[in-house]
Amino acid sequence: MRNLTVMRLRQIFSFVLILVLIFVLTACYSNTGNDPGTSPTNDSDSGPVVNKERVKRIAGGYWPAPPGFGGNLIGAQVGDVGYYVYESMFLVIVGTDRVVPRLAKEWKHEGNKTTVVLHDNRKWSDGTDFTAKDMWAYYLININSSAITRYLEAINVVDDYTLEFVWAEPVISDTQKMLLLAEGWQAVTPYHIFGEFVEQVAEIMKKGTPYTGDPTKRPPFGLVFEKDDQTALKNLYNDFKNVDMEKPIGTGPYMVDKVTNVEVDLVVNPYFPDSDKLEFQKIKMHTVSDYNSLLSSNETDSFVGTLPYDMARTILDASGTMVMYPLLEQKSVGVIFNTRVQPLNDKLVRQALNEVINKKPVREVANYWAVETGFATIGLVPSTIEKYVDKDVLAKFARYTGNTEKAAKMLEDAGWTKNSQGKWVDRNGRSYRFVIAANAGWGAQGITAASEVARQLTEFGFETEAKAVEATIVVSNMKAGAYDMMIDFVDMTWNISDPYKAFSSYYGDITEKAGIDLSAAPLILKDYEGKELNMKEAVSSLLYINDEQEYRDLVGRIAWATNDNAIAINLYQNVMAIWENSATSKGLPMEDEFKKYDRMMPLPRTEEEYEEIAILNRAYAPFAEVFVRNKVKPR
Amino acid sequence: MNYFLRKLGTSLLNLIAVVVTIFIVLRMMPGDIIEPMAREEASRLGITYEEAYERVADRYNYNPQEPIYQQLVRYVKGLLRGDLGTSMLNPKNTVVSILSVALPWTIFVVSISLIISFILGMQLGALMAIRKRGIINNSITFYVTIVSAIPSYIIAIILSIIFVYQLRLFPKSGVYSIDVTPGFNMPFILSVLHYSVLPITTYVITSTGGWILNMKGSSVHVLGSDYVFAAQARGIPEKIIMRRYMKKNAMIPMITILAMAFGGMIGGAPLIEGQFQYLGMGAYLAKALGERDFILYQGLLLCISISVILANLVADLLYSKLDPRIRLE
Repeated sequence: MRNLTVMRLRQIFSFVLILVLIFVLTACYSNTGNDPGTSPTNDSDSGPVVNKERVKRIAGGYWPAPPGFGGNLIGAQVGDVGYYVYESMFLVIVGTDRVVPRLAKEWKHEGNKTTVVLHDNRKWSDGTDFTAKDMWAYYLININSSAITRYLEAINVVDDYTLEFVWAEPVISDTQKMLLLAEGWQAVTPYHIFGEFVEQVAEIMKKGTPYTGDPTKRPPFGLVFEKDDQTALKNLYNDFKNVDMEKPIGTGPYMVDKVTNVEVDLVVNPYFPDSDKLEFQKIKMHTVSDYNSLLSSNETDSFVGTLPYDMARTILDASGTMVMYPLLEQKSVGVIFNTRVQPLNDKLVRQALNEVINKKPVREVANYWAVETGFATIGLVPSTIEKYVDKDVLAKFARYTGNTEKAAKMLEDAGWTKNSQGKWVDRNGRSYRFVIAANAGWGAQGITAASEVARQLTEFGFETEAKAVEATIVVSNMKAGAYDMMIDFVDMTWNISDPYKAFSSYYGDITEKAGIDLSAAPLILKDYEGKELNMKEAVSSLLYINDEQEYRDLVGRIAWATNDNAIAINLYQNVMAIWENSATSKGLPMEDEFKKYDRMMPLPRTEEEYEEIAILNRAYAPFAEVFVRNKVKPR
Repeated sequence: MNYFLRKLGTSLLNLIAVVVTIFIVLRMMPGDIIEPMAREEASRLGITYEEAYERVADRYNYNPQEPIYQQLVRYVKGLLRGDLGTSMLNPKNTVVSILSVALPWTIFVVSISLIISFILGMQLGALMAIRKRGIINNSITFYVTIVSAIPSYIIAIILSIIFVYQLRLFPKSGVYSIDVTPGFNMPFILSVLHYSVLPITTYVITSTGGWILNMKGSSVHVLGSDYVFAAQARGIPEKIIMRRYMKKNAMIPMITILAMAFGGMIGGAPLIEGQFQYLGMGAYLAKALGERDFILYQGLLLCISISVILANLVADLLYSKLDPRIRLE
């Protein structure tokens, strides 16, 4: 028996030894130079890291894995690669709303027309000249998907490099025109590739008849189509979406070289002006499942993602060279009240609950670097309020400070009392138990914020429970009255922080979630002078105001009335974290203060600082602005 | 022949039941996948929710308002033509094209790890049956207890931290290097091997324990059989008893489990493949579910179900070949 065991053990040992040998041999393969993830090199053991190849390694992002990857942006084949490949006429720096010309050289607003002259030295990455017809192609093929077409009468190609935008009556303000012209990428549909679709759309458009109905529901280019033509347009769009291109063709500084499911190699577009002067000659985008390890081991140069404070600190200490920049997002996280249910249909109760919440502990557990606001909810991105609302008006806004005594007094004044168990009961003797839903798709941020709010409300005397709910059912359940509150974005915009954008998103999406149906009945609120405002109409009128003071005045009134109505609690304005590797890049923002802050940098203190950091985030700079500015260089 | 036809018939019925169940269950799930996307679009473009909903539903080629029986008929007609549908998120991706990419990688990794873990499990399990006490038995029991208690994705993370980020011996993610050209060439083959080592190691570490225990149980059962005692009484050498009597008979149920395990593993381990971003069935399954790409999800589930049904059929047929009593019954 012993001999048998020894023999069997020998067999097993030999087998395991072979496996280990294979393991070691394959591991050695990584030293042959074939591994794509090779890091910038150290010239000596203690010397600086040298990025000789001028490569920027960017972690994260999304693109369809081959065979899904292709060159048709509208066909969802490109993903985040587009940030480096495509351009637009203008670029809006998110957060400051500064408009930077890109493909546009000059522009002029005159009456109901805006003339844009494009640069005449630009080419697509396949070498074809870029002309005004390419831009015209974009607006026509995306007739239904582009916000600007609703405010336009027509787009005319004046010559090879000049476009004329004819605005519909009533003409929107110059600011709104610029923001619409700068929205998204437009140089994404080369006419020499998609021309046949565009010409067919142009033919169908000729058959459209002028729209005469409600101006707020104006269709693209103010045209109404017969059912057959509508179907034809829809089919054309679907056919256009299904056009398969091997790689994206853009006018931007980079073009796609190679793609796998986890890596994309971008090289300089040789047709881009002064392409040889770009500091980074190659961009490597890569995804992994574990970004903490990636950052800790300095295996990347750039990443965007917010982490809890202790985790971020651990990564910075482990890495020794990574730098973290917090940056305010154009979004606030808040609690939306369900005004369909009692007692949250009562404004006084909503205001009292706003007063209960101490936002600091919520912010600390959910998003450490975020910025608390003293408002209930204002409809605007909070960090922009001083820019758009006069100081004397701002002084009239109600502030909520987490003062539970004041909150109790507010409820008592409204006839509420506390029962023997210390729970609040209304004047009819009814007590309430609240449920706060948090979108489970938000991960820890949603449910931790909800739990802390629930804890504070329970402590105050309203028994409250927090629930993580699947993203696809959370809103429908809220509408059905299953929850009393939900954690969601409030006071936000998707990209441009202009008040019209923020308010129009608020008076539509947020109000609907809160149970206010603006299509059923107008929402009339009073401003700080007691003047009644039809909120939807007031918001729409912002579009057409050219006078700055008049605009600020109306913005102040809408924001004040929104805050007073208190259908939500703005818990904090969200902050994202941008990570850069100082070992491989130089010229980074606040470089001389890395030591002072131990590489966990403060929020930007000026607009200039904000912009320098904002452009490091690909989603904030639709054009690969950071690479073109050449301020950040390979070390 | 009758036995084969009966088994084939049962498998076909299973397949029909699976097609219908997957289809209905996915559609009965609460929530509307279009809704969150439509809300975002309405807010971003400043259009009404209804208009945004129509647009998004159209873009994703999915209309939850369409009666379920109509959807089912359309789906089954497509299936009969070999069309499993198109990914909702990327019209360029048909489910069949995704399967043709994902399945080979999963089969590659799963079959290698299954062979390694099976061989190791058989040897160690038989060893444990022979040596019921002692340091070897205790060591193997300790190993099995530990790996059974640790979820596979934790092992994947530990391997990643050690071999990817600390020792930097293996790549972070993917199936082959971006710098090689796919095809029958040495750099590509070496790259594929290099990228597959950690997923295979994770599979082997986590699945060997099960094989060891199964083999041990089966071997102990065989060792207690009358024919083993009879062989011992006849003075047949221990080596021959172990090899011809114990191991051969103990492995019969193992072969059946092996066929079924292969079928089951075709689904990949979403968490293992997800950790290494290995482009197999598991990674696509996790991605499809995360993005709520139900058309892709149902196609992948169907493929996995078919492999399990096929594996079961093979196991049944194999078992009847190895043990003639099954056929008679």
